[in-house]
Amino acid sequence: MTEPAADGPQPRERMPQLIGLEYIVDDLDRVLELFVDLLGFEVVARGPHPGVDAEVVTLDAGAIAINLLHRTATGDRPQILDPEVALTQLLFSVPGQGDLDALRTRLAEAGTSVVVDNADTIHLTTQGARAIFGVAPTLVFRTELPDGTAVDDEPADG
Amino acid sequence: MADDTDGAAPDRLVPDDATTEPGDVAGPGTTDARDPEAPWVEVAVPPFPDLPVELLEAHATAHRELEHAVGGLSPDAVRTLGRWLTDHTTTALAGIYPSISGAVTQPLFPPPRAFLSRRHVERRAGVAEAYRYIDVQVTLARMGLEPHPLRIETPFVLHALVEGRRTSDDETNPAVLRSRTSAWVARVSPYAHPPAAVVRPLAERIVIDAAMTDAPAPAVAAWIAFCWMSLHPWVDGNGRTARLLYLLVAARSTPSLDLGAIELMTERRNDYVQALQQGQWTTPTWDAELLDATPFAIRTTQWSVLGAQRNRRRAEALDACVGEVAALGGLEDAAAALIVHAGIERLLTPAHLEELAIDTDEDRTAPAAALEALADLGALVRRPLPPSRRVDGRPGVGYAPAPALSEPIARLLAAT
Repeated sequence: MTEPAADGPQPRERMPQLIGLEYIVDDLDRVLELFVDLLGFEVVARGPHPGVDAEVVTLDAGAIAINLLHRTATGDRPQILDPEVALTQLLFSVPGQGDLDALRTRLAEAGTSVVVDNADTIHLTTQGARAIFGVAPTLVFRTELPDGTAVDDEPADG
Repeated sequence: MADDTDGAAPDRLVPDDATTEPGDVAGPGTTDARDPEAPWVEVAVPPFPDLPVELLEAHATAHRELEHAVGGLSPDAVRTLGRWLTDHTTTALAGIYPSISGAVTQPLFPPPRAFLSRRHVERRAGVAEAYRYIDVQVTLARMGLEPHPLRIETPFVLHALVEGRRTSDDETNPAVLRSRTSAWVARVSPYAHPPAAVVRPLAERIVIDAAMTDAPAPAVAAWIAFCWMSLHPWVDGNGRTARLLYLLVAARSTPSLDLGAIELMTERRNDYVQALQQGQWTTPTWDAELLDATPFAIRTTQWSVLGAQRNRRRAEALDACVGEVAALGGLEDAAAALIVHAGIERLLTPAHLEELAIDTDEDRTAPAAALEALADLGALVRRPLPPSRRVDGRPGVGYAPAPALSEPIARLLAAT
């Protein structure tokens, strides 16, 4: 264990709270059979994703929400470039803008790879998350409850 | 997401059923002999992009002004900037994301990356060796000792250096052209790389044309990178090789290596990929008449301009900071520059400094001794390395500026 930096993590009530998971799935119906029919989660929202070429389904899974992204390839929005079917994100809520800004600074100064999506959202790159954890779900921090937003992360070629 | 950012991550490539063997070579206009389904691909290359005159003028001006600014700096500031830029650019060449990017005003001196995987460390090390190779080739050419730094073997040398280490889960055969057809998963990209049988003749044609043309260097540099990534001649390491080729060719028209453009290619990766795809998605596979390097060339030339302007600001800000620290601490410029370097690295280790000094004539242990001496003077403070910055997991010590000297450095780090 290392000691927290003087300007390190905030008191518990200011800490990021895990509020959701996001999967990219190939066969949405099969996943819904598991989550809705067998586990009893409720579909609370379903529709086109606002940012990427996908349909998004949000499930109420009790303490957290689960977003399911299914590629639709209609061509009207940016593609999800990652071909993987995977758990892609852990979504955290941060109490306020000041907390998010401070978190961004702490993470960047420590040498992680922070991407600022907009004023309300930051995330660690998948590349960076995989380097730390060995698996790809990245960490997304928002100042409000996500409504199915996916971050645009690491296209494939270049 | 693949742990790769330089183009063709192996797990993103889905080899089709084509099964050419190593050594298969196709002549002009042949198909992949082992794959009757492979498309007919002519061994011809796209035209060089025609960049707007105003953009080329802006490019020349930005690099001229950068050179002029650097020429006015203290030698110690120049050396510090050169070391930091080389290190920073190596990370970008390796396709490793910076510590901060996206919708934010980029600091002039962003924090160095930590939390790197073993493979990222290997990638950086391989790219650093390839970078040194380019630096030597360009220097020899400028001294008139090498007729042309770009030769048929150049991409193979670069790839051998880049991929000679264990940089991915798969065996990628350093400097060996791919022997199978490969493509992105169709839902990710509709563009398929050409059959393996035409890779060698196309690769040679790309290098020869880039070496022989008198088209403007920014256009040729972008063209060779675009063609290389569209050809995708290696199993892995195509993006890294392409960026290194860009660096090599771009040096024809810039007084120093075009590090700023490379930095922005990684920092603005989505734009980079979109510009690449814009010129590729005009055709389902390699077609010299339909592939278009222009969008990519415009973007990289714009970044070259922005990068040179940013590096000029860096140079001026760093020089001013070295002067302030020297005055504040009553120090020589060399000592002040080392303290500023410790500041922009957040924590400077002797090992890292020795690594950065590898190309200089000085005693490689001298920087570490200088750090110790400044710590003994109270100008630097010793701090334990956090686990995320340790080498091979070993505990170590880094050096940070003493609080009494930190104020001008804090301003430098806040500058954008």
